[in-house]
Amino acid sequence: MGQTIVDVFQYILSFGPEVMLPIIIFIMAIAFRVSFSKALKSALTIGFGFVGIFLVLDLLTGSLGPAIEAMIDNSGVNLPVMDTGWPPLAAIAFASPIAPIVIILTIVINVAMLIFKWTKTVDVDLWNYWHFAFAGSLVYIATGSLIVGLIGAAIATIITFKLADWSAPYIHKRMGLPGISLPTLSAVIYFPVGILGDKIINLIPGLNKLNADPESIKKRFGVFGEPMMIGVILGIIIGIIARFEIRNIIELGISLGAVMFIMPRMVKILMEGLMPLSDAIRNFLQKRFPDRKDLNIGLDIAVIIGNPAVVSTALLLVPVTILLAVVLPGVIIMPLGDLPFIVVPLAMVLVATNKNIVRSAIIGIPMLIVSLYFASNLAPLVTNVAESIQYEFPEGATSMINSFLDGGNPVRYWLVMLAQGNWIAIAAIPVILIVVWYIYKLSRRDFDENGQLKE
Amino acid sequence: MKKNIVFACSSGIATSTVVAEKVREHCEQHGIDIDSRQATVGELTGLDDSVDLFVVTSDVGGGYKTPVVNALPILTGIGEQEVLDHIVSLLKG
Repeated sequence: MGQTIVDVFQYILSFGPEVMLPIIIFIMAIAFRVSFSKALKSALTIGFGFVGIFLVLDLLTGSLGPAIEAMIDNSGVNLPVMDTGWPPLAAIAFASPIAPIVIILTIVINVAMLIFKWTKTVDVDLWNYWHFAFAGSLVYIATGSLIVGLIGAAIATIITFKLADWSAPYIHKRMGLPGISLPTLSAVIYFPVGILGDKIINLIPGLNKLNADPESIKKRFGVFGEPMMIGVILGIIIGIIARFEIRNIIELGISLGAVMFIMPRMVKILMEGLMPLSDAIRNFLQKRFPDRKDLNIGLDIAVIIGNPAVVSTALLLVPVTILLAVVLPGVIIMPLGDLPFIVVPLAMVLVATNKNIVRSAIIGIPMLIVSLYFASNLAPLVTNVAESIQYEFPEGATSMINSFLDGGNPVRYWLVMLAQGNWIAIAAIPVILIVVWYIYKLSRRDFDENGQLKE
Repeated sequence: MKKNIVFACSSGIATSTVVAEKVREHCEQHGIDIDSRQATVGELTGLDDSVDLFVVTSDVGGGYKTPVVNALPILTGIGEQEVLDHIVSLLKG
């Protein structure tokens, strides 16, 4: 009997994510009192979102993979890791066996921290829980221990809430969003970096006077703001470097443009499916703390990335990123899918520099370099995680994937290294704590004696 | 008669999807048939005066001929009902 239960369990676990996740989301939705028909419909929608994302990923690996191999053979450009962009990573994270536990864990951590007044952020943005689930699944696959994986996810969650609280007053005033904080891991960890960079640039004569006009940058670099154009242009360039014949060059351009155009639409399906559960969790969290007027509602970073200053800084850094990947020794990822999302890490830097484009672009360059290296180092592990959820690469594709922003996220990289007992990562703990504490003290000078942000 | 709404956010995908679903549901309950599309905030200038309503999730400034509703309360859940009712009254008016 016991053996039968284990067998049944094993059998269910062997399903792909497009089957597994709808089952799990359906059960969770019912547990959070979503109506039966709505829970069923949304669970199925999530499954379809998965099918869609992996279809597009197949198109990417199938068309770009052989091109990257030819590029390595026919030129000096050795960038074998494909940048899928974050959507497949999010899909992989939600599909990993650790994800449902991380969702519950995140809610528990949030409620506990609110009760003990350790955070002011009510994180109602279920979608972004994938960042914590991804941290957890990387650590889980790296160590083979579910418990260590969950601890990793929990640390990522707590760091995110603390940073969201820290940056909240700046977001209220500088972005005009009172009552909001932005607990998006991929963005908020760069807030201290932005504060430190801003204070350093303040000390440099000449440089501290510079700013730029977002509109003129948008006019000149606007083409980099269209994901499909990034895809088409990069496809053609890679095709040329790979010494493809003209027909294949054009085909590659069209395929990569299509990937960049279609992928977000697939993500949309996944998000639509998550909505009823997301709503239920939001209501659950908000009902718990009706009297706390000091709280901030935690939303997705998307609510500020439309700001013209954020968009223009990111546009400037798209060509810079491609150049960095080509010239930096040891970087092995070919930037593509995450290029339209440079806005995400930069958004918080723009908040820290009070929307100064020149400063943010300068601060952004070292951030991108670090991210490219970490993404290169993590590519084998991320590829393992993808394979662990039954994703199979199409024939002829190069075998490594990652995304250069979310797959090179310093906090997740650090957690993986810690979990593997890397001594540099362990030695970095006191250093990071002291530096961040110092930056926090620096940032307090931005406030007057009543705790109001001075401008 | 069908009402045309453009839902805009910074990516044209993330937050506008959430808002669009809520608004569509609310309008259906009030017997308003809507035809909608999603866009990035940057596209709004080109779409001005061609639809009945813009629903946005980030600050887009003023100067549009098409009425603009900021739907941030739909994301936070605070003041959500008021915004939804406001949208319905604008479409019926």
